[in-house]
Formats: sequence, C-alpha cells, structure tokens
Amino acid sequence: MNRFFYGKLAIGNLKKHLGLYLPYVITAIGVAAMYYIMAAISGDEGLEQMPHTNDVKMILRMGCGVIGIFAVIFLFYTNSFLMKRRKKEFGLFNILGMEKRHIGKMMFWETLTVAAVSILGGLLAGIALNKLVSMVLLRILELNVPFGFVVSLPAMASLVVLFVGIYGATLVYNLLQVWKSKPIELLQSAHRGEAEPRTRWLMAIFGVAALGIGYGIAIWVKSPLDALVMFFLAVILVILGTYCLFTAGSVALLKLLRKNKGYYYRTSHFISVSGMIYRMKQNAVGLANICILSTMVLVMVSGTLCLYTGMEDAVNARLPKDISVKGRELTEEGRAATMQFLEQAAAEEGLSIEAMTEYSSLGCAAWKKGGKIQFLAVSDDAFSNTNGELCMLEIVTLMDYERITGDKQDLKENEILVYTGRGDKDATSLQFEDKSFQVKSYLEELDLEGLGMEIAYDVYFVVVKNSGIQQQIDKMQKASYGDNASMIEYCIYADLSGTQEQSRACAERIQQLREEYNASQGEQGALNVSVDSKVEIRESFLMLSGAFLFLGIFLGVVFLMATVMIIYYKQISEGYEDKERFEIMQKVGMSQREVRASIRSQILKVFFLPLLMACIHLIAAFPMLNRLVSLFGLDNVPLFAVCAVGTVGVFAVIYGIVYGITAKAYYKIVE
Amino acid sequence: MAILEVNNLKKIYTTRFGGNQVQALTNVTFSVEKGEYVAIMGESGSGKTTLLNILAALDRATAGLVLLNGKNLSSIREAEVASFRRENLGFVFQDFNLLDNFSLQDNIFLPLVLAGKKYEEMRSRLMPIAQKLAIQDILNKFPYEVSGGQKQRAAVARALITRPQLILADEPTGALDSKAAESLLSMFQEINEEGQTILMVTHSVKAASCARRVLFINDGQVFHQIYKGSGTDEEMYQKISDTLTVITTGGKRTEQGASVSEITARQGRNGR
Repeated sequence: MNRFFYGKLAIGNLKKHLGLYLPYVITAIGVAAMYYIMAAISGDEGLEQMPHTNDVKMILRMGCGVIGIFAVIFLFYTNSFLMKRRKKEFGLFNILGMEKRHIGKMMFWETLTVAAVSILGGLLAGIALNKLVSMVLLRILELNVPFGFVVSLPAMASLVVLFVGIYGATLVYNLLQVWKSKPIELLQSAHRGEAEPRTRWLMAIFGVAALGIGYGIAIWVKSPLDALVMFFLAVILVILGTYCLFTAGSVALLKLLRKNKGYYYRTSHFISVSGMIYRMKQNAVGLANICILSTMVLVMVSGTLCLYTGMEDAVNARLPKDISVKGRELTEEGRAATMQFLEQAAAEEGLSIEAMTEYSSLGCAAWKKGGKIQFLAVSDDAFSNTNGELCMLEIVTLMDYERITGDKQDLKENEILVYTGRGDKDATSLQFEDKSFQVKSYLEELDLEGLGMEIAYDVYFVVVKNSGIQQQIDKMQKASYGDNASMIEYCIYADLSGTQEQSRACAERIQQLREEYNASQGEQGALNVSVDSKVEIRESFLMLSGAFLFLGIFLGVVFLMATVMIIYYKQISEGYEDKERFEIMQKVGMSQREVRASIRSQILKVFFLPLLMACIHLIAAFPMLNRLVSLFGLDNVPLFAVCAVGTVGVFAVIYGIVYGITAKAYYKIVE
Repeated sequence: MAILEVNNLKKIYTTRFGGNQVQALTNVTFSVEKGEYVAIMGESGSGKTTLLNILAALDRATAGLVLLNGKNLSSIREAEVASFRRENLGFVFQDFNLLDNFSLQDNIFLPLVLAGKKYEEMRSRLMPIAQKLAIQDILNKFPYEVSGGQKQRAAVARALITRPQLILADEPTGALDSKAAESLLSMFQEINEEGQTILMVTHSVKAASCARRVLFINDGQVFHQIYKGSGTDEEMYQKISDTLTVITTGGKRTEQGASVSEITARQGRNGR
C-alpha cells in the first residue's frame, strides 16, 4: 500500500470533520500562543533590568504554569469529546476491513497533523502577538522601555515540549480506547441507550454542605489574614460543592420536580425536566467546569481591576505624604541628625518641605480581649481565641499628640486617650500586663498621618502621658517578643514641592547622607534610619497590581476561550443526540413551534445555569475578596462592587453572544 | 361512512441537485371505512412509506386528495398540522420511537401532555388501555429496561390513548421476534373488534393476514386488493401468498389461468 495512504486518509478525515476539528485546533492555537507569550514575557531580559519587576516576573511565571496545567486539562477534555463523536466511524473502518493497527496509524497521522498545525500556529500567533501583549503589559505597568521584537527560544522550546507531550498522551489514550473495544461496540457507541441517572442523595447533601461551609467561611471570616489562609479552603470547598451539586444535586432537584405531577405534566416542563435529567449525567461535569471557569474569570478580573484602579488609595494608605523618614531607637541627637538629613537633602534638590509631621511612636502587635492587652510570643499557642484578637497598638506621647493636633488634653499618669477606626470602643480601661490605664476618652478623630490605617488588623492609637510610660510599655513588649520586638520609632512625614523624580532623588540623597553619617560615627552612634518615598511605593505597587491585572485579564481571556469551546461542543453533541428525540416528538404530534419553544427553554436553562451559579459564587465570595484586597491596603467596597458588576456585565454579554452563535449551530443540527 | 378517502394521490420527489424527478406515487386511490382493519403491502420502494407519510400529514402530496373524516389534509394550515395529527391519528412505528428519557408511562402520556390534559384524566384514560395491553406492571420502567414486545405495546398504548380516528402502523412487527409479533397482531385484532380503525403498512404476509383487507401497492399505484370476508387468517395467508407470487412473477402465470384479473373477480364476489 502507498506509504502516504494513511497520511492522506488522515487529512481527508480532518477535512471531513472540519466543523468538529476547526474549533479544537483554533483553541489549541490560542492556548499555545498564550502559553508562548506568557513564557516569553516572564523570561524577558528587558523586564529583568527594570526596578521592582521581581514580583511581576514571579506572577507571570505563575500564570505560565496555570496556562500549562490548563492546556493539559482542556485538550484532554476536548479530545474525549471528539473521540466520542468519531468512534462510530472507527468502528465502520474496522468492519470494512481495516485492522486496529491501521486505524492506529491513521489516528497517529491525524494527531500529528493536528499537533503540527496547533504548535506551528501557536508559535506564529504567539510571536506575532507577543509584541502587542508586551505593549499592553508595559502600558499597564506604566513603563516605556521598549522590549524590541524578540523571539524567545526557551519559550518556544517549552511550548513544543508541553504540547508534544499533551498530544502524545491524548494519542495514547485514544489508541487504548480503540484497542479495548470491539468493532460492534465502536459502531454503536454513539447511541447506546443510556440509563437514567440515579439520585445520589449523599453526594447532593455533601455538595450543599460544602458549598454552605465555603460560603460561610467567605462571609463570616472577618480578619483579612485569616481570610488569606481560609480562602483556599473556601475555594476548594466551593469547587467540590459545585461539582457535587451539578452532578447529584441537579438530578435530585429535577426528580423532585418530576414527582410533582401538577408541575411536571405540563408541555413546557414535561420535556425540559425529563430532558435535563437525562442529559445531566453527561453534562453535569461540563456545566460545573463552565461554572468554575466563569467564576474564576469573574473573581480574577474584578479583583485585579479593583486593585489596579484603587491603586492611588492604597498608596495613600501606605504613605499619605511624599516622603517618610523613620529612625528606630533614636537619641535626641539622632533625631536631630535625622531631621537634618531630610532638610539637607531637600535643600540640595532645591525642594521645600511642606506639611511636615514628626513624632515618636511605639507600634507593636498585641492580643486584645476586652480591656486586657497581652504581648504573647508567637511560639505560644497565641492564636487561640482565649487570648482575644490580634491587633496593632500605636503608642504616642501626649506631648507629640498636642503638638500635632493642637488639641490640649489633660492626662494623669494612669490615664490614656484612645482612637480606633473600627476596633471596639467599649473598654473603660486598658490593662497592659499588671499596669492598668483608665481610658479618659475615645477620640473622635486623630489626624496622625502616617500612622497608617493598617486594614489587616484593628488598630488602636493610644496616647499616654509621657515618654516614660511609652518606654514602660516598650519594655513589656520587648520582654515578651525578644528578638521580634518592635522599637520606638521616630517618624517624619512630609510633602515635598517639586516633581516625582525630585522626590525620588531626595529620598536617595537621604540614604547617602545617612550612610556618610554612620560611617563617620562608627558602630556606636550608627543610626537605624529608613526612607520611603511615595514615588517608590507607588511604583512597586503599580508593578504588583499591574502584573496581577495583566494576569487576571490574560487568564480571563484563556478561561473565556475554554468556556466558549466547552459550550460550543456541548451544543453540537447535544444537537446530534436531541435530533432523534425531537423527530420522534414531531411524529407523535408536536408542532415545529412547540419543538422550538421547548428547545429554547431547555437550552436557556442549561446554558445560563452555570453563569447564574458563578454570579452567586461571586456574591458569596465578595466579602472575602474585599478583605483580601484590603491586605493590599485598599478598603473601598463601592469601587470593588463597581468593578465586580462591570466585569459580570461584560462577561454576561460575551456569554450571551456565544450562546447566540452556538444555539444557531444547534438549531441547524436539530432541524 | 369512509373515514379515510384517498383520491388520485400523486407524489413526485425532486432530487436536491437539478431536475432528476422520482415518481414515488403515480396514482393511488382507495378508501377506508370506519372500523376497518386494512393492511397495505408492497415491495421496498413501492411507495408505501411515502403514502403513509402523506396520510400522517408529515409530507404533502404533489397532486390528489386525502380526506380524513371528510377533512382535506392539504387544507390544514402548517401551524395546526401537529395538533390535528395529535387529535386524529395514532402512530405505531417499526422501531417503536419511544423516548429513552421518559418512563413508559410518560411516553404514553406524551401526546396528552402536548394537548394540555390534566394528570388525573391521563391516568384514568391510561388504566384500561394498560390493562388490555398487559403493561400495567411495567409502566414505571424505562424503554431500555423492557423487551421489544413490551416497548411496542407501550407504543400502541401511546397511539390509543388519544382515542384517534385512525391508527397508522408502519411495519409494527418488523423489529419483533415471532412470539411478540403474534401477540401484538392478536392485540391489533382485538382493538379492531372494539371498533378502532387501523391502517397498517407491512412486508410481512403473516401480519397482513390478520387484517380484514389487504391492498397491494406496486410502482406507485394500488395494484390489487383482497378481502378476508368470513375466511380464517390461514386462508387469508394463502391468498396473500398467491397474489404476491403473481405480482413477482409478473405476466407469466397469467397465461396459465391464475391471472390477476381472475383473482380480482373471484375475490370481488367474496368481499363486497
């Protein structure tokens, strides 16, 4: 036989099944291109040379891994669908005299063709789009260093290895499938009378419980740090719950509906309920996949969008003024020297210092239970609830307080003033170890800039009579925390006139001055001083949130592509199955219009169920996402809500368009 | 009174590409009286299925007239065809055409549900039919759980439950083993004795011999018909076999005496 025979046959087959294979190949090309771009950008040398891009690279590399894993799952899923449709054909070939090894050869050529087209196409598309995507990334990151048009060899190599691996595995899987089955089975596998799915109550109940607990965690876990830990637990529970609910819960619910005779025996319900029970068995997993992918898209895009758009808020929360200089454990001279650094640097850059605040503060963590404050080393089982909640204390002296606020207060030795944003204001006294202080009053507001609204914890600002008391408390926490103890900080916050570049230069100059000073002083008098400028903080935050946004959108696109593909194949495969059913119904006396109506109601239900569920997931996850976002110093619920609603809106529109297109394909098959 | 009248029915198919025309029905004329049990026999490609599709309003004739209970089928508007079919016709198919996702009971209820009937009414209509067809114990089973004979009995129940003017059966015994076929045929006879009009298209001499009248279709026209009269099924079987022999061997036997016209003449005396 001609040695090209199988190759030709394979290509002929692919052409014949273009409707099935084209979307598969296009998506594979898309995923491959995405993978290449991600790998290329995360390995880009131009990016490496820029400041603050370590986080960016790490995030991109993570994204690359996610796309890789995703490619494996997705290509396998689609492949199994294709196999299901083609088994009959293989059976026919087998019966017509082709041996299984011939079929194997044919499949090998088919897979080879598909793999070659997807890998080459993916590479070409990836290389072509790389520039565009890099530009988007640079734009998000507000960088303007051009990457140049580069072809990344390592990225190409890793793409080829990954995809050859995946296609090889699918081929092996397909061959095993054909090997195991008899020709007659292959021939009939397309429509084997499938039994009605059994109701798995246990699984349904487990699904509801898992979802409930997941939602519960998302809604009731208050502390953002706990949220970070619990988030993954919640995510896993919700994913499990979604799968169980779609597979078992849906069948259970539908069967309950069927038991209700009055509801069930009505034209519109009769056909759609029974149809859905029947198709849930094969489609539940697909629907759950769509639901979870959609949820991921929604969560990722809305969260990262919120982080990115709310960046200025977050930066301001971290550092409200242009520059901060902080020195730890400073003497009088040290403070004076520190102040001197700032003034000198500003003067040298030709900047004037505006709106300056300076004071000393002891900021430390503590466990607060009612009025009882404890400093507990972390090694103890400090996190148990009996010790109360972890909070941050900021202890300042009355003198600093009065100077900054201009508010005159009288305090006795054992009296304090307390300000807290969202902490509790019930305790009439605070007890530090064995020392108890009367809360003279809770302050309405405290304009201590730079004390930083740390959103992760409740923060209590405590104004004490004098620095002696401040130091007493300092000793207590030092005794407990040892090496991890906090120190009294001397802080200067100031706005600078001039451009961002100047304030960056000023910050750098302060560093230099400090180093020079420390060198001249020797080890004894060295100052522990650090400088932060808003420019730098903004930049590093921009890198982080920008990279997250980029990743969010990028993965969002990938997941959306997969969702579209799953939906498309679902429609097509259901179309072929439903064709017969609707023919029968027409023979028994159902009009064309009734057929159309019942098809529509059924598809609509099946189609928009995952989207609805994804929205419910998003709503339940909203409080927790908000708390996670607050870890980045952003506490803007309305902004997040707007981002979420916007994302859902855009997503729903795209979903709707996909529905329209695939529904058309479905009708074409059925009628 | 004739429940079904077919006059000069003609059907021409045009192939999809270009003008190749296929004449499936040349000129078919016959009528079915209320309470009759008529079988239509013919070779593959003789036009049986086309005829049945037109009678079922699934297809439209090129020319000619079909009157069901005095109503012209081609005058029914497209939108009403489905409900007309549902109310007036019952179908029994060779491959049962039961839906896998419905239990037998729900399959039987399907036309009534489409007609918007209440559950209680459907249930009360079903019970006597199910008893007669001996399927009352398997109503809650699904089609893939029961035998072919049981499936076909469920399909018959589905056809009967709408109390149709006419039952159209297309090779009802085609997919059944001989025992199941026999029991189905005797059920058809029982149903017919209770007054139900049945029109059955079949290949099987055995099935046709149960009918009270057999029409032969060949090359798109009614070629011949035989009445059972007061004869037994066995006599009918013989007559059908003879006729088929005549048809297949064509004119050769005509010379030897047993001509078609002779058969017609003889049977005409027995029948009407």
